Formats: sequence, C-alpha cells, structure tokens
Amino acid sequence: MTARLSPLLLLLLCVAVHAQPPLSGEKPIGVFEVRSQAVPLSLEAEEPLILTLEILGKGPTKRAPSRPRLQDIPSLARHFYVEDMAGVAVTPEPNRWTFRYRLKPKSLESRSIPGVPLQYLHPNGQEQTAYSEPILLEVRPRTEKVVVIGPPPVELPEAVRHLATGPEVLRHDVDRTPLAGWVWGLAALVPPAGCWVWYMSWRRRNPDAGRRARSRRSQSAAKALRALHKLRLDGDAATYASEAAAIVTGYLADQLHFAAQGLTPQEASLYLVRADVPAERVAEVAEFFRHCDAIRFAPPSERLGGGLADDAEKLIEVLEAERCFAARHRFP
Amino acid sequence: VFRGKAPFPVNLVRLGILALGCLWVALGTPVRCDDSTASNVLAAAEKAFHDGLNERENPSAARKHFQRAADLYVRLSNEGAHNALLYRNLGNAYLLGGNLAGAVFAYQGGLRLAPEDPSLRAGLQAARTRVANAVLGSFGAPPEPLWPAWVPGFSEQSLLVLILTFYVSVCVLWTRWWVTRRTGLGWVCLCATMLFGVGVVCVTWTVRQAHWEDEHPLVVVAAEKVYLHRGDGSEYPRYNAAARDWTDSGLDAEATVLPAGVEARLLFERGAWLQIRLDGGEVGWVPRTAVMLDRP
Repeated sequence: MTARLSPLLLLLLCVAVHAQPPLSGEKPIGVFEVRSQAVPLSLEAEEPLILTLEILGKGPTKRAPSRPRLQDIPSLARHFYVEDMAGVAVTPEPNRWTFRYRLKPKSLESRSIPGVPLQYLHPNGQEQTAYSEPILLEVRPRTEKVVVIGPPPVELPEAVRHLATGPEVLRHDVDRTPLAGWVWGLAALVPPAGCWVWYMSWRRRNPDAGRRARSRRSQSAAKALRALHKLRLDGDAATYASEAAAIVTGYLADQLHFAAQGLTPQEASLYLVRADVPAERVAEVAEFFRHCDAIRFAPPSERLGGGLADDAEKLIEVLEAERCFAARHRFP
Repeated sequence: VFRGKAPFPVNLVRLGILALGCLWVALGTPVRCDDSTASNVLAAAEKAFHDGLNERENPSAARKHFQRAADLYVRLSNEGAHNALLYRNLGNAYLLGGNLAGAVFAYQGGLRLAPEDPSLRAGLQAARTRVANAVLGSFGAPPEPLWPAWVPGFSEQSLLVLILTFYVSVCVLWTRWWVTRRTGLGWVCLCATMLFGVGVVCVTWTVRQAHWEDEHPLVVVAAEKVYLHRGDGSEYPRYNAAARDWTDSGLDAEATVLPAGVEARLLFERGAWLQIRLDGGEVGWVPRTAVMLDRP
C-alpha cells in the first residue's frame, strides 16, 4: 500500500512546492540570468538613483526567485545606501521578475554598482550563481545648492515674545458649541413681532395720526398735502385761494384721471358723482370750491382766506381715509 | 419581643446620604490637575521662556529653552488646562523654538476658543508667513486670511449679536417709515435693508465655513520630509507641484516635499493614512504619523 501511494505523494509534494510562494532565503530552482540597469548614471554623492534588477528564467522554473536583498551584499552595502521600492515588482511577462531599489552613493568612492549575485538550484541539482554586469557611475562631489524660494523670512512680531501669566493660564474653558436652530428662528421672529406690537399700540394711542398716515399712502395725496403745508397766506387772499383750489383740483385730477384745469363746484360734483363718491363728500368738495370762488371773486376788502389750506388738508384726509377712490384703482 | 417589621436602619440611611453627597461632589467638581503641581509647571515654563528670550545672542541655546517651555505647556494641556491664553503661550514658544507645525497647531487651537484674540491671529500669521516661504509656489501655501488684519475676528455668538442688532434696527426703521411715510426715511430703510442682506450673506457663509471645518478637522504637516501620495501607501505616485501631476519615478527630485507647518483638512482616514485636501485644492494621502491632527 505504501509503495503504491508513494508516487502520488511525490506528485502532491511537487505541486505543493511549485504552488507555494518563494520564501525569503529559499533558492529558486531553474536556470536564470540577471540583468541590471541604473538611472541616472551621473550623479552627486548622496543623490539617489534607481536600480532595476531583472531576473530572466531560461526554460521551466520550478521555484520563482524572491527579491534579492542587496543590503546583504557587502560590496554593495559598503558604498551605497539601499532602499527597497516595494510594490513595483509586477511584470506581465512569464519567467521574468523585476525589482527596483533606490540607491544613494555614500561617497565619491562609489564609482560602480557591483554585479548582483543570484544563487539558484539548477534542475539537475547543482547550486549555481548568476551575476549581473557591474554598472559604472560618475559620482561628483556634492555641491551645496542654496535655493531661495520666495522672500526671506520676515522678522517675528513683538507680540510673540510676550507671555500670558497668572492662574487664568490654567483655566479649563469649554469648547463653544454652535447655536441651535431655534435660537436663530427666535432671533428672526422677535424683532418683527416687537415692531408690530409697537405699531398697534401707537395706532391705538394716535388714531388721527394713523388716519393721516394712511392718507399719505396715496402718492397724489402725499403730494397735495406737502403742497398745502407749504402754502402760506402771505399776500393776496385771491391768489392764496386760487392756489389751494388748484392743489385740490390736481389731487382730484390724479385720482379721477381728467385734465387738471380750474374746476367749478358743479364740474367737481359731476366728476365725483361719476366716481361713486358718497354724496356727503361730494357736497363738502363742492362747498370747498364754492368757498374758494367766493374769496377769489369777492371785492378786495372782503377777501379773507385764512384756514383754507387746513380745510383742503382735512378734505383730502377724509377722502383718503374713507378710500373714496379705492375702487377706481382696483383691477377688474 | 418582635413587634412587626423592623424599621429601616438609621445608620444605613446616613451612609446612603453620605455616598450620594460624595457622588454629587465628585460629579459636580471638574477634574483638575493638582493646583500646586500645575503652578510649578507653569512657573518652570515661564522661566524657560524668559531664559530663551535672554539668549538672543545664541539662537541654538534659545531654541532649546523655547522647546522646553513648549513641552511644559503641552504637559499643562495634557493635565487639563484648556484655554486661549495657554495655546497662545504654547504657540509663541513653538514659533520661537522653530517648530512651525506646533505653532500653527497651537494658534489654531486657541483661535477656536477665542476667534477675536488679535495676538493669536498675529502669531498665526507670522507662522504662516514662514511656512509660505518654504513651500513651492501655491502647493501647500497657507490659506489667505478672509478678512484684512485690521478687521476684528468674530465668534459665532458675537456675529449673532451684531446681525441681530442690525436686524432690529432695520425692523424699527421700516416700522417708523410705515408710520410716517417720509420719502427720505424710505430710502434710508432701503439702504439699511440692502446692507443687512449683505451682512446675512456674509454671516451665512462664515457659519457654513465653520461647520465645514468642524466636520473636516485641521491637519498640520509635522514631519520634515512628507510627500503627498496618490493612494494610501508609500508605493503610490507622489505629487510633483512643478508639473502639477503625479510621478512614480521614485526619484526624490521629481516629487515635491510638503514642508512642516503646511495646513490641510482631513477628508478621509484609512488605517495609518489620511486623505487630506490642501488649500490649493490638491487632494492626496499622507501618513498619520507625519502630521498633527486636531481631533478630540
């Protein structure tokens, strides 16, 4: 039974040996050739170069070579700092292994990279060594380069030479936490709410002021009221009455969209009735124009126009407050 | 004679109250280092700092004193001290001791606690100027300050107070205009509202930036010879700032070094490697051991 199993065991052993990755220190089995290449070939001492080592398998390979340890080669380690470049030993070609190293010449004596030996087992059982060709280098003395990048360092500010002292240096402060969303929301809502409360209380305390304020919302009313404020009874009362009538006429012309001309009380009444203004207000407007005409056409000794501007102002405020022309400004 | 259930032992109640009292004291009292020890360390740090200042003629000796002072301040920080003054002192000691990375890190830590501290900002600016002199072009250059130096820094709270004051003023102005309907006041209201809008945009941007920085902690390059790698390993290509590309030649001369003190923001962490983004927009990986990471 043992004799019958032994060829199978041998076969399994061969497969296992073939499949397992090469361990460091294990010699590869096959026939190999070693080639090396260095870049650059002319450099300064302690400047790095890249050494690429290629191991080529001649014929079938029973065990692949592992990365040769150049650090363990005395002739090389004596003259060069050696650093393995990991992860670049990948080659798509079969029977070809590439390894890269970063070498730095230690001195000007490092004039060549000696041949790298690779010990392997020949398939016939003999131990053999393949060498790469030595590579000649031109190593120059190191020149000190002074590379100034950007402006020279600036003098440090005097503040960095001062120390904070006292027990506060030993304090433990809590890190600041960002403000919660509700804080921002509250901050956004409180001011308008406060202003609204203020406005409502002001309206309650000043109902007339509120009415005046509303009347100013009409641009034409605001214009008329400003003109009436400026109107003074300085000279002739007839001129004063004419100007007051013209201001009210202008206001009505803006509101009712007619050409502003001198209005008679009848014409004013007609326009207002057409605009559906309440009869009481129509009568007040007609009365105002009648009063103006009375002053304008009275004998000079009987012309008394005091208070006409105030009457006009009240008339406009009443018309605005009751929104007598609001319907005309609405879209159908 | 046994007369029903025995009363609760009085001594046990007292013991319980005592234990609760101890627990309350233990939880309520902040953990602090021994005051006398901390005071001694602080005194030693201050002495080392002043010794360094007195050694102006001998920079290498002065540097040693400053480094010792910095070590002592770090010890205080490790023992529980945590405030802007400590970080200012630490940053100053690091800066004078030639440790740019430590200085940048300490000043940034202090500014997080006191954004309006002008000394911290001046120190950080001095450290950044030195780092800027060491970098190649814009690769790793420190971030430009958003505001000129004369503009005071604001914390989120102070910004809120400022913008709230402005907001209240705008609301009051508009209400006043609604009451009076004066044309001039209307124009004032419009201008104030536009200014307020600009302020809101600035504050929103600042707050969003602050939140982004909270999510992406500060990374400061601390080691001497650090490269920006394309992947999380030293075998990945390194960044060449002159070519604005990655190089896998393996030659040091073809890769650009990130000097100590370069600031970046953490994007991702994988094992012993950190993915960072520099201020210029370059994204790459650096080893965790080569940087200082501002993360609790």
